[in-house]
Amino acid sequence: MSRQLKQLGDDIWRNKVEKVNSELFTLTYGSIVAQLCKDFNYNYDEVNNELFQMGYSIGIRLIDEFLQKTQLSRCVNLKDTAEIVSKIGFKIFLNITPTVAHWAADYRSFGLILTENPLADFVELPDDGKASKKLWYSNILCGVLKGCFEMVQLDCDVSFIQDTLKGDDATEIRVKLIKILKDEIPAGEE
Amino acid sequence: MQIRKLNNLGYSVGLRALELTSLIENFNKNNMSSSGKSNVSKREIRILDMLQFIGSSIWKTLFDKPSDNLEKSSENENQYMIIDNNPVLSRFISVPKEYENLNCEAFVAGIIEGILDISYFRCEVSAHSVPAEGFPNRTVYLINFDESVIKRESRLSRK
Amino acid sequence: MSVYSLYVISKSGSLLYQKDFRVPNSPVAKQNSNDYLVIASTLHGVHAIASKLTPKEAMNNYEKSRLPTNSNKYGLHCITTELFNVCVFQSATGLKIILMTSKDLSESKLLQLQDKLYEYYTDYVLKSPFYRLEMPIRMKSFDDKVLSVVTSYNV
Repeated sequence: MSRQLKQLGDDIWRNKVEKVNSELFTLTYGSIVAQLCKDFNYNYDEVNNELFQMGYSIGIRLIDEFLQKTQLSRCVNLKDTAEIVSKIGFKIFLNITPTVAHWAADYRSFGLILTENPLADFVELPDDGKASKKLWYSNILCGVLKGCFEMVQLDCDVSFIQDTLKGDDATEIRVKLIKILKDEIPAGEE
Repeated sequence: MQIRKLNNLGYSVGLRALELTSLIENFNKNNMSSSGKSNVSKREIRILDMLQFIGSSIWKTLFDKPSDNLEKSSENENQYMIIDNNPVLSRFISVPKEYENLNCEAFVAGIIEGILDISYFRCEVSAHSVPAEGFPNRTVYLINFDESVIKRESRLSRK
Repeated sequence: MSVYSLYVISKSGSLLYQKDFRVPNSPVAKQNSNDYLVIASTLHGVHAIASKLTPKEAMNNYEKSRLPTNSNKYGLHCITTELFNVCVFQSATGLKIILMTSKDLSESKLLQLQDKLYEYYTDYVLKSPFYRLEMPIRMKSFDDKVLSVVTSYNV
């Protein structure tokens, strides 16, 4: 299963998606974050929140492109979901494959460890003593995941728990399934 | 307001994109000396050379294709135009009627302005939709150079 | 083969997009705008009823044979009349793309077209920052793309 997914992700990345110059992408994201920091007067809680909201708006739209390009159907369990997010989702949109790790004992939450992060290439956080404690620079990713999950009726908490930009050992997103929104599954899809 | 914001975002990208493109060009040409310094990092000082560099090298780095045209205004001495028939970034954007004068390519106009500014060509750049047959998103980036740039240009061309 | 009409219906059943294509002697008559809304919500309802009627156990065999690109599992797939077919595609997010076509349109061609229309929706509608989900689609770029792909089928 895992190898098939990797193959599918690679194929779609190579043949189906349009690419944009990665530096343009990184620089653009960087200037958006910098602008938000200014707009919110360096209140990083608000910046995190705004990035999350932006990501959420992207996620609830991006999921359809994901489904169209991959032709995948509903996942059977959260383990499948985790593998697909990592090997296909991250692969086809960012060309990275985070490692799925740190499963909770009840298998309702997992970590995605990003060994590469194209959003954060050449980034250093502002040196104001606050940013390195509070700013989750790539928080937009959590919003995207939250939005995507919600559109396939998975109500999840998604948040960063560590980030190398802040001096942590790794960059890790934590995904926790709260519940499956059974009532909202479209008729014909259950 | 929105246009100003997009333009500013682009501007800060432009400031950095120039360095990057020059660096990549030099790498590709294998012109890095052992000290890591480029042997050919030549700075364009003439308007047309600079705009050509933007329309070809910068465009290719950022958008994976050259721009489609470069024109000088026949009415205004300080106006030049870079033209893209099908801009990459706004390919999927439909602007609703109530925002008629908004062209999201203001972001790219900002990038151009940032690059020119940091290269000592003071100017203002704006993006305008000028659709043509088969190219509904065709965009003209209008560059208004500062008087000082035009004066320098005429001084240089007398030499 | 011909494609006569297209309906795009949101997850909640509202009509996002409707187009009748110009085909000589089309057996699908033009309606007034209110009727289009009625047709859309009726199809949405019948689709839901069909899925409700299907027992979950019955899906085990069906699962194997199901069409790869259409995520519409238990719901209404097709209505046939003497002159045309009504074909329902549904994405896993609940978006419906409904086509009224001539009866000689092959299944593989139909799937290709539905998939292409879904792709255009994800590119030209969802990626436009001014589009709000669940709102009617009014975009020339989407119109143009839809028309050009459907025209290539109407030969």
